[in-house]
Amino acid sequence: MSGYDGLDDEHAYEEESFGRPFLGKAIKAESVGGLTSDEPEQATVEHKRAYLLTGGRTGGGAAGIGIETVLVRDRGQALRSGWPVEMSMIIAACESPVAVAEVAARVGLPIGVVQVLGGDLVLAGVLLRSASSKSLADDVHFIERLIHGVAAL
Amino acid sequence: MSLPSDTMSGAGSQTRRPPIPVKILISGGFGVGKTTTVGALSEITPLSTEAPMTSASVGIDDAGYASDKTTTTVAMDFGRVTIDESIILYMFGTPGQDRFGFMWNDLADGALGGIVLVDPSRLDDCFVALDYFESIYLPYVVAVNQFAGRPTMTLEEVRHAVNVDPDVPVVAIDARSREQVKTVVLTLLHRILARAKARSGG
Repeated sequence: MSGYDGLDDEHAYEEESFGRPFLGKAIKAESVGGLTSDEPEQATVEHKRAYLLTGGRTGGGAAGIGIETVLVRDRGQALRSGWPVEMSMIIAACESPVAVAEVAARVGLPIGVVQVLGGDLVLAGVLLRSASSKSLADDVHFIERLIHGVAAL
Repeated sequence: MSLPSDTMSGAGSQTRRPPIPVKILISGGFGVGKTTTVGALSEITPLSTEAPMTSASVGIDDAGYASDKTTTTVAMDFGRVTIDESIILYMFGTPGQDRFGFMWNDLADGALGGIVLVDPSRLDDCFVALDYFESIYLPYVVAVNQFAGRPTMTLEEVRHAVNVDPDVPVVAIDARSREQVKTVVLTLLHRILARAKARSGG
């Protein structure tokens, strides 16, 4: 323990006991032991496994959603009700333009889940996605604009 | 406009297109200051899926001199800088350890460039990041974090020790300084610009 005296042991255990760090904090150890839980009625994100939310899908899907892809709700489309709770949380987080990674951090879902569900919402026309900056790496004018912008910070 | 078109349907999109995200990676060994670097420039408190490191990782994640470090990035963290109405810069701190390599392809996909942070007292910690950036031809700069009161090396000594190409910038940085982080980002962007010019100019 030397060197880590600042840590509350109990807290540390709770945060760290789930052994797959890429799933983040959203899925707690309780959900690993099995589907039975002391609070079965509590349909929060914490109690669902990531692959259940995505139907087993991984990656950005057909919409090609990266972790930095910016999403925003399409105000031209009427808001539909009846989305699963995770979808509703993602839609609500996208009122102003926000990256997939940021959505994930704010709603407490793994990034991979937001990539898949966000892609579904883009294909459904609910969210708009940013263009990729990939092809801009060789765009001299774009990079110059970026430099001016950073220099002016 | 040189913005690429995209699969999004044009019909019914009265909302203007979301800003283009520009992604740069901040990488380096454990405890080298990635989170600090991101936080120095970010307009938001860095967001993360960070969890406290427990005693289970002592001996695996050796923080060296930074022995009072109580948390480490087990997933990743990132910050945001709005450049203008159509560009947002995202800085992603990438896990510096080999065992998180499975995340790197996702992180690097579409990245414009990278900053490799170096702690002179633990030079070899940065080799994983250097190797990865070189293997995917990502433009990068080496930034040597200046820890107060630590044994230090000259930039030339660091360059020699990490053995990077002569055209890779090796610069000093105080990761807590917004101005210095900004300067390093600009150094990286100029390197990206030089490559873009070389490619378009033939």
